[in-house]
Amino acid sequence: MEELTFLKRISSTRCQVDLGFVPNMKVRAEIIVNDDLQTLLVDELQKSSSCCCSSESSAAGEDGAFIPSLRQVANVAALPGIVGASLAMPDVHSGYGFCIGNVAAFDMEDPLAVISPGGVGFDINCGVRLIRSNLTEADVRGTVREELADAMFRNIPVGVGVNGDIPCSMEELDKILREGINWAIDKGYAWKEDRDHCEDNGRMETADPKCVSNRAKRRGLKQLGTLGAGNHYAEIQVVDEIYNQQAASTMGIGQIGQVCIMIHTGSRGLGHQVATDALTVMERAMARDRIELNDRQLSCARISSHEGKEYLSAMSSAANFAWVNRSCITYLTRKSFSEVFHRTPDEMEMHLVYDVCHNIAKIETHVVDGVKKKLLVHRKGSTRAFPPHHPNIPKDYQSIGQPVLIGGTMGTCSYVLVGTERGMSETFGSTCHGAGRALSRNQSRKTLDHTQVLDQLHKNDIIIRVASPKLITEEAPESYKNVCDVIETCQDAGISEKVVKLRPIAVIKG
Amino acid sequence: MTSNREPSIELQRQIDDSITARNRSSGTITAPTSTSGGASLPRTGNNAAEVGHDTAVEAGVPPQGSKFEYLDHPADVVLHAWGIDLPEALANLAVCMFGYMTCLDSITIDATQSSEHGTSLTGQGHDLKSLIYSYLDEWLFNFHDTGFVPKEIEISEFRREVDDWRIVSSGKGEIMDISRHPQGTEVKAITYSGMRVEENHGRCDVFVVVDI
Repeated sequence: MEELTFLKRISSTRCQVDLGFVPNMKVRAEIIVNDDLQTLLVDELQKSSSCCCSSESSAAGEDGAFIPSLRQVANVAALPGIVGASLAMPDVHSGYGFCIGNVAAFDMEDPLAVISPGGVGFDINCGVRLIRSNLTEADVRGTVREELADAMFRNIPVGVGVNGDIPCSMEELDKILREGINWAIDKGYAWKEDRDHCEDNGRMETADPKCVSNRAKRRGLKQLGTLGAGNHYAEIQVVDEIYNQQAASTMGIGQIGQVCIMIHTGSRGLGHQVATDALTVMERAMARDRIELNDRQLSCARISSHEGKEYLSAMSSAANFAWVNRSCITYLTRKSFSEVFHRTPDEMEMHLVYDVCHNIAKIETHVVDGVKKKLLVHRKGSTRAFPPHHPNIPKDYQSIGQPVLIGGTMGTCSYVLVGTERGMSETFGSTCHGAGRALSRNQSRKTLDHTQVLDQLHKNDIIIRVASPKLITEEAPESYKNVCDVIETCQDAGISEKVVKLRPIAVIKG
Repeated sequence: MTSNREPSIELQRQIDDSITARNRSSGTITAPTSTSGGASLPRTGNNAAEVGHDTAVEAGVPPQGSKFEYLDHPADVVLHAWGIDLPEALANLAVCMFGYMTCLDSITIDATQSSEHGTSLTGQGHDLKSLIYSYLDEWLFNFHDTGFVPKEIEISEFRREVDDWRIVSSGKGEIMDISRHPQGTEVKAITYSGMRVEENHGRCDVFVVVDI
């Protein structure tokens, strides 16, 4: 197959896609993968080529049910203003426009450089946060664990068609969009010190509620403080392994068996609508400006254009909403623990370890070919992983680097990593975000039986509260790549380092 | 500890009332009853598929005789609908989208709610694909705004002219109530990815990937 000649393995953890693989590539594409993960990608490419009439048509995104990730990461390398390389993390899989796991940086000083809603994703500022406690596994054995899961399932609204319980008016919503976590602190949902442990201190200054459509706001009003469905969850976890004692204890994680809570959710319908609105606007603008792309889903606008600026402001507003949403769910979690243990969250030391975004575009400074540049870094299904002593990470984590939270999938382990200097220079300070899908949702439903998935969870001593039990096969561990492989590949590539492994004991999801 | 550690008593009361009302309506039994440590299903009333029926009464499975299906996609799902012409295929396509979010067999037709929340939705575009995108997005937004789920859709106006791309449609169904309607997977957004229309004489097929 001719297109495979553009694919080169350059090290045990990296492969490179050369210019020419798809039309108009401005930089190379680079994928952080081991041999096994690369085989998955090449299989995907070959399958799609054999079922499409020509690679031309599928590169154009006009035919075929999906575009394989290798071609997607290369299509992104063809966008105006991209610098360095179009990167993909080991948990890469096909998305729309950009693939999931794609990192792409655009030069803010280049007037032609673009911003793309497809490079952020529909779930703007989807992210993960970890809350620690001074409880241990022994404190949550037996009925206590059941009570905790019940309390969380009762207090946190999950699944499709459910409204939130956090009161909010249109005026308040504008404040949320502008102020981010500060609104939640003011209302008492978040603690003041939570702010220091969020990226951007829980607020993007580029936000402007005026750039968010009324229909996006209407979707947001009803969904504040809801978890959502799909792969979103709240989990009670225990520390299973500590790889780096010093970094762990800096984060307040001191012992095996310590109870933590992980929350994975984003900006809900508000963010989805912001992305939808932007795609519609950019579609029109691209038709007007006759911008031709390799794939229509790569809708984008110049950063400096009206459409580009509006999207950046709307995206930032949605990101602020997401921090408030995770804060509200944190409040409901702390409340649930209080109800069960009859102690205050403070007494249980339920502090926020960190909160990461894995669907976002951010203005950051990076060194490209020896020159300091202001870049707009898109991370879609990738986590920022800044090294020790970076000015943008909290004071108390300066010596260890930014905590990176990698959520597992129902029943598998999650990880805490830290960023590295090597990641900073090689991947714009980015690493993976999760396991990444291996089976399609339909395949999962056809090949896996939900009662077997439940049995397996039972065997692994994990309890679950879920709104739609029959759909859990879609999120079963078998549907995803092995998260350990993904983490190890990042470790070997030197772009992040393992600190702690967490094992789930109770899962709450939609 | 100078700043707030929790919301005001008044806010807490409001939230608690809302939580109680929500759980009452979804039929959740709040008192912990299980003593075993194993995996248990939630005790919500929305598992009609779990307790009441052994047939495929669930979201994501097309009801018998419907003109749509769900196809594989690596991360999301492909909606595939058909009909004798494009308007019929598109009507089925929107119904197909709702069939992923809940079980359509459990939806009944409420005339009042249908006329209030399902009448004359207008989608507009600048070409066929953007028109389809807008048409589906209108129904998706309508759901997220009002909770209305149509089980039947009729297209009353379909224009595909150079300067006028428009679909006006109305649906019959009711507002989703999780005590009666099983929760499926939330559709976050419509995408252009792999969007395809195949128009042949007497048969039209439409494919759209939705983000879930």
